[in-house]
Amino acid sequence: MKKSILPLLPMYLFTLLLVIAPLLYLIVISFMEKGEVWGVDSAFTLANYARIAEPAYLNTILFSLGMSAAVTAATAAVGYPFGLFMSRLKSDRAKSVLMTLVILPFWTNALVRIYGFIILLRGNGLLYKLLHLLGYGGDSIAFLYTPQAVAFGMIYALLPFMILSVYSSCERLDRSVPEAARDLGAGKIKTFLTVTLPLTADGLISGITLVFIPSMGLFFISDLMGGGKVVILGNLIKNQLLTSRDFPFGAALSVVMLALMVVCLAVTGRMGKRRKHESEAKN
Amino acid sequence: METPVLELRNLSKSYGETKAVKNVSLSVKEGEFVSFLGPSGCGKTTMLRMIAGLTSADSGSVFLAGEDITHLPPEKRAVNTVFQSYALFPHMNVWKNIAYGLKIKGVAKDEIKRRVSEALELVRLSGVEKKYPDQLSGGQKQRVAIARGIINRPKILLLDEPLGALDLQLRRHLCEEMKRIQKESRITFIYITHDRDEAMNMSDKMVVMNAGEFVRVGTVQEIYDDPQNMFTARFIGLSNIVTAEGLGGRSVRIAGAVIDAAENVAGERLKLCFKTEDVFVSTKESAGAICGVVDEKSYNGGILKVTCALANGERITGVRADKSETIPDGSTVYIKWQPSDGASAARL
Repeated sequence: MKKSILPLLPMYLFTLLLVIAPLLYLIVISFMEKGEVWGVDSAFTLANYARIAEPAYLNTILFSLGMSAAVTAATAAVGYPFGLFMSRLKSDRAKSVLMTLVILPFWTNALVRIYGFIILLRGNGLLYKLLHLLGYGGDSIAFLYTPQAVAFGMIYALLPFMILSVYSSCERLDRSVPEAARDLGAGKIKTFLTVTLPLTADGLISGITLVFIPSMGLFFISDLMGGGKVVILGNLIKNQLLTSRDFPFGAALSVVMLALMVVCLAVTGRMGKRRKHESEAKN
Repeated sequence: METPVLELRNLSKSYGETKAVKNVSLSVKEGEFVSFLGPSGCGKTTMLRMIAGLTSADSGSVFLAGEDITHLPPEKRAVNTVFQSYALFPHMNVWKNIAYGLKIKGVAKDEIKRRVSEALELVRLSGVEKKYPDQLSGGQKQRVAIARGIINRPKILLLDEPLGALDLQLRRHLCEEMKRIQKESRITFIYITHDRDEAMNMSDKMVVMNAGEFVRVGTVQEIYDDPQNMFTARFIGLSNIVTAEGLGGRSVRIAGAVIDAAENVAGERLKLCFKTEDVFVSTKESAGAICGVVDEKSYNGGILKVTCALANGERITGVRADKSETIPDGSTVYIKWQPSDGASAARL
């Protein structure tokens, strides 16, 4: 009996219209010339891609990748222990309080939260005054509008994803498994390295994916906390589309970013798969 | 006197308001198979975790072969555990699971190989060493857990209801296997269960627990012959418990009839516990018998058991005095107590 595709039709239409069509449109535009009247002239060119290879753009992409790597490393360094700690809490009440605190920021628009940070961190802001009261003075907090501030903003915005994904995989780990390792003679550190970490690595890997990929495109954080001085790949694309009105070049940059994400997904996906297959392939 | 392999001295543990283990003491000889028997929530698992070092005791101490290990972390104790859920390492195959303890200790490769092979042979699992835990049956997992536990040659192997998740047929088989493994490895086993048949089949010594206390400690025979308290009697399946009135000397009165309790009993009211096989029921009237009415009959292991209601409302179960006699339901019967081995009715 052949199943009717009718019930699934809305889903196909949705995907086609809202995902595949814009994507194809983007790719097609990226091979066209910039036009004065309509923004795009339908003449085939590879110039947009050739332009990306120019040092100025290439350096921005490399800087953006470096920034993402640093942000990802920092969220993992903070988020993994936090998620593990949260899953090991004995009291359900403490767990739900912490969980609420982690999720709470999502109730407010990210833009508003970043503005909030600017107010806290700026030259005459709360932190500045507080430090002054405590006796630290001068220009010691020229922190805002630096790459570090941008990284800080991104870590702040993306940390919950890391925590939640680590937490969920730590929660699934049967507590008696690390206990068995201790029981068999492994100290705390050895138990962590040989049992806890390998068994919760899937959460860490998906956390890395969830942080690394968005961190290349979060242009509003670098715009606001970097004061326009810090440019990541997301800003570059936004500037082409909204400032320079160079749609084809913006599209080409988007395609490159998309390709980087696909590579990233392929790598992390493979890491997850390899771990899974270890159990199936070996017998 | 030889040093006991395990000694618990006045051990206590509370969780908030609830006292899980109350001031218990115990001594276990090397090579014994000891069962902790009790209903769920009686503190068995807490007890075991304190011996393993996974839970810290509030007060009291644990001695392992004469050495105070109360404050040692689990990895420093020569005690290994078979967890209720087995807690096998899902990312390691059977071989690596079993070898884990040796690897951590830095034992040489050849030695690891030899000892893992030995352990696999002991638990009869050779051939599945490359499989992963999620590819094993419940019984196989249990064997891996035992092999992993004994590989370090611990002084004691703790087993926390290791048969709980398995079906009856397999449980019986694994009971025998466990007894065999214990004998061959000569490791002291401490086995936790709520199943009296398992405990009674396997143990050299039994510890009956209730509400955090050891209510009865002894060999299976000792406990069966003299449960000493109502809880133990009921928990090990001795259900023939009747109220008696002491008449001085050895005589007691049960439901109007006077019988010999085979031991001097002080006056007042007391509870006596009879073994079913020592209680004989017949429709023929005889002197000194207790009078009752047949309430129900059941075949159990090929033997007809007759449960009778007594005049005082209590029930007693026995076997037929004459195997050829038919005893209809509702008929009046005469019940005699004749201990085969001269033992007394246990006084609770």
